[in-house]
Amino acid sequence: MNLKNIKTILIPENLQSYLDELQQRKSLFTKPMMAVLIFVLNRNLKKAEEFRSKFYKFNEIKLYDFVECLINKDYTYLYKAEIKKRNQIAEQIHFTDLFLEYTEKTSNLSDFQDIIDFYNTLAKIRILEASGNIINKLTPETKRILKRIGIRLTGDIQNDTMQIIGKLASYQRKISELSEKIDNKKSEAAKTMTFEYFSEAVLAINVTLKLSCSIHTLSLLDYCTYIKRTQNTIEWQKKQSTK
Amino acid sequence: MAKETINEIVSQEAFTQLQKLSAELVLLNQQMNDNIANVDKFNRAMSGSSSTKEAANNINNVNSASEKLNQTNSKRLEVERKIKEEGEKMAAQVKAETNNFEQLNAVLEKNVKTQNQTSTSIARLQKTLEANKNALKLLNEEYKNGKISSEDYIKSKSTLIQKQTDLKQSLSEEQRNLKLITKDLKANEGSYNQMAARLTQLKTAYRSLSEEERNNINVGGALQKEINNLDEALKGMDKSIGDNQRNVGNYEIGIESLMSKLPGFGGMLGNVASKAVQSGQAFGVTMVTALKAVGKAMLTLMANPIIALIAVLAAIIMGIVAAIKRNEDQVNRLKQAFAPLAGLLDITLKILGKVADVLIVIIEKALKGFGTVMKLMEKIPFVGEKIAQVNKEIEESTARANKMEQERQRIKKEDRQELVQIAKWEKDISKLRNEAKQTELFTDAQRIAKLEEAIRLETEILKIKRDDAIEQENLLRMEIASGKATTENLDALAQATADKYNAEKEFYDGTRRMETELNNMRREAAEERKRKEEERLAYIKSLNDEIKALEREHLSDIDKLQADMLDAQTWRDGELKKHPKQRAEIEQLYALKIDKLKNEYNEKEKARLIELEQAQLEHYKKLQKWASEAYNELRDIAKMKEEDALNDLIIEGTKNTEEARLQIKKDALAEEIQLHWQSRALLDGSETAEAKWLNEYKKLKAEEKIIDDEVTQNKIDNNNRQIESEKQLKIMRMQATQEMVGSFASLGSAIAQNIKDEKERMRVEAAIALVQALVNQGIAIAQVVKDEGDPYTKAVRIVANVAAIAAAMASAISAFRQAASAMPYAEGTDFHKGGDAIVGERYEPELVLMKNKPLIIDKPTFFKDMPIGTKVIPFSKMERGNNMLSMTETNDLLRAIKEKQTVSINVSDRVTSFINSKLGYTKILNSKFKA
Repeated sequence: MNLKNIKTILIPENLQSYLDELQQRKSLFTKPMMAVLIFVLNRNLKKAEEFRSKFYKFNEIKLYDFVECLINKDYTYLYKAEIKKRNQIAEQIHFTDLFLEYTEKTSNLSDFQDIIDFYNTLAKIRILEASGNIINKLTPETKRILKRIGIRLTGDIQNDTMQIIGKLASYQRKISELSEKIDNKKSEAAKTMTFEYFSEAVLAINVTLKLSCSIHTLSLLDYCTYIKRTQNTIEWQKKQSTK
Repeated sequence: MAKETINEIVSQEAFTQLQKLSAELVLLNQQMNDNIANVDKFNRAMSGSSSTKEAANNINNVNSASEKLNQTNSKRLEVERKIKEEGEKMAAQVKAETNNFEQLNAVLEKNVKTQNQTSTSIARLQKTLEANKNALKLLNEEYKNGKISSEDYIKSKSTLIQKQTDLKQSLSEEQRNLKLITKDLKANEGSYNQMAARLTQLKTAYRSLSEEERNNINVGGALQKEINNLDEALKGMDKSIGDNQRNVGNYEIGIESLMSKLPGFGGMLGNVASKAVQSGQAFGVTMVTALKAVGKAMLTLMANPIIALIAVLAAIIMGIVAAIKRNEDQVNRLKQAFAPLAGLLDITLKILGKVADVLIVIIEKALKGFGTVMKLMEKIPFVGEKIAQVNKEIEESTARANKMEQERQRIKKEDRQELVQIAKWEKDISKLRNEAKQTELFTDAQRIAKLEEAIRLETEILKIKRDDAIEQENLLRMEIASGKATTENLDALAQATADKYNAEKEFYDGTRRMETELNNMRREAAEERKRKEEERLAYIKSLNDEIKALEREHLSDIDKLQADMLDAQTWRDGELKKHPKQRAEIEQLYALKIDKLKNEYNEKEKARLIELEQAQLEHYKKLQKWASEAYNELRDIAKMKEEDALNDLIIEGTKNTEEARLQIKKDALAEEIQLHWQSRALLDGSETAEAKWLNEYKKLKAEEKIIDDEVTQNKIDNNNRQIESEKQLKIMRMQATQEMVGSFASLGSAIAQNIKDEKERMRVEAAIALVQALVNQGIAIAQVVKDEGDPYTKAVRIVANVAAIAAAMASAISAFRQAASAMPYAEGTDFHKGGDAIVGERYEPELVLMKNKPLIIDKPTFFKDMPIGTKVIPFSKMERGNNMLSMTETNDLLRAIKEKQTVSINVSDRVTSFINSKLGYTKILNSKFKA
């Protein structure tokens, strides 16, 4: 008897969806799929595995270690003790990934909006500067890009150049504003990157969720999830109060 | 006056630099457009980021792209600035040069007379001289008649004579000036001859300046500068043709200039003549060498019909030159100076090989002839027997020596080839062996194939070494057998035999060793394969076992359920029989029991199903993860390989890098596409993943298309480049031809100036004129070919020109042959004494009264056996009234002038066939007309 016949015996509806999905998954175990898998298994994955095994995973790291790294900018904390040969570039990459993951978990994309805007404006400024220099040698694609930025090319070089200069001025104003804003934010963020700040956050978690943990015992993953949850709760409460 | 184009003022390097900069600017503009598109692309991607990680990545991309754009922009500005600088520099140069030229022109206009002025002044001086003569005559008569006193007579006479001497001197000076000016006008622009003539003119002008003028920078300074410039240029030219002493005279320059254009002739004449006195064989060798050189030159020139004609005529002129002076040193300079025509050499050398073969056959035949004589001598009584014996011995020893010599030469030749071949193979072997050890880059099959190839090559090398040893031994044996059984030879033989055995041993040892090596590797690979297979099977087995265990559990549960249900049924039946009245309760209880059982089963089944699914999913995920990772790694490896190949290309320094580079890229992309196509099996059925896969696939396909386009573009570019270079070659050939004309002109005047014998000088001058005419015809043909237009009118023009050349050439050759014995009558004669004669060689119209029949000749004409007593009167002499004509004669003459027959060139069958066969040019043209 195979799995298919179970359906005839079992009637409950909630199982039906399970079975359907299972059937779908089973179709993945087709012959070509197996062939590919076997072909893949032939390859040497040892190296990649080894490389990955040299580092902690996100959920394995203690919050304290992470904060230590963050504040002291010492990435060796994330290195296992038995590793003899250091790979500085790998450390850097790994820590960048980790930090990004951390920010992803504790915040959202809107915090990056200013930086994105800054680089967006910078890119536009560069495009305008460059196209202003080669105004009579623009390709159709560049012309389209300029149109999207807001330059209506007329073919009259003087007119076009004036338009570009005008646009450049407004963007330059914008970028100076943005850079000021980002600088302020940065200095604020630097202030918060202390053990005290993290301890207070942990305390707040303890109070809200009725837990008893410290910065030394809490794992980074847990910390992130709790922070997220508290944030959500606060937001929900805010919404409720406004309603 | 010299005309200067901008190319002469501004150096070619500056132009090249400017062109390079412009090309760079175009490229940078394109790059900037591309970079703008790039920045925009990343910018848009950044705005649409969905996660922090993606945003961070995109920000990085945008930042680097904008940085790159900024850099390109500043680079472009730099290039623009450079272009502006170069342009300004050029403008300054041109302006300075123009100023100089204007200044010089002004000075020259003041100081140097034009052709017209000079001829007028000559006429004036001649008249004055005539008047002076008359005055002297008159004075003499008056003195004779006693009209004036002796004192007055002496005084007047001395004044007149003084005046006459002055006039004569001025006249000769003016005549020389006229000659120089004419030469300047006639000579080719920028040619050596023109420059030399101009230099003399300028020097004369400088000498005629007053001291004040000479010190003036704008007058004397400008002249001095131009003189220095010309002198420098001439020195440079001299150096290029290998002469550091310039002031040898026009004669030397003329010959050298021509010699540099015609390699082989001078050398041929010199070599053959000087070594002709030596032994026959030596003479043969010289002959071969010399003829080779001549053949080379001739055939090189023959490649172009125009130049072929020039070559024929040049050979004749060179004969004259050789008769005047022989200079063997010049042979060495010929090759260097022959550079402009180097493009034709390839074809020539092939034909030359055949010529050399023919010559060698001749020598062989001569040697055979010697053998025949010896054979004939065998028949002489008494001595014959001995001679026969000697002959036989000679034959045997010759055969043996020949064979040994052949063998030795063959071995030598083979050794040389083998040395290179073995070195190459050894390089290949170490490369292959290295690659065979790289387990990560190559599969087992590839590695084994590589090792096999390496072993095959090694075996080949061993075989060659063994064969060499055997051959060496055989050769020594032959030598000993031919009677050279010296101790040294015997020792060498022993050594060679030992070497042979050693080589054989090495061969067998090596073969066995390599066989073992190969077997080991095969065995290892098989073991590895087997181990992996087992591992894989074990994994699949564990997977299946897990699933099967769950299924088995499920089956037993169903059996249990069925058994329980059966039990319940039996219970119900029993109870019903026992208590038929309580049927309703029993049924209810039964239903409850059944429900309970079913629920129990369902609970279990649900849990199991989830477990099963979990197990399957886990395995699947694991496998998929591995697969995608492996796929990524394979892609990385493919990229690494591509980079490696590109680096190899750079290190090797292959000529056509662009093509090879594109090919490598194309191959790498094909591999990537194949990998990607295989990875479609990894799709887990979700739409996003499929869309992503498809997107990537399309991207790769688009890249493939781009590379294909690039390959096509590259091919087109290559073709264009080839066409351009062919055009350049054509232009170079034209220039070379024109230079040849210049050389002929200078040679002509040079020879003419140095020849004392009036008759010979006339002949040479006529020949030079003819050559010049021919060359001009040739150039006219080239021009016709180059011109665009109606091919049919072109055909007519070309045929006419070719016919004219052929006819002129034929007549020139015969004229040269016959001219030696002919009498030249440029000055005219009252009575021809019989034999051949040349009339009108000075291009002055002459009246020929042959048997009292008037005939007007206005170009050099050869008369074979001119009737005795023929009168030849130049027109210039007729004016003086020395030869008064009668009325009848004048009338006849006028009639003859009126009815003067025009010369019509009859292109006979012989000429056309000659053109068709020798000057393959018309064939090419025909094909052109068809198109």
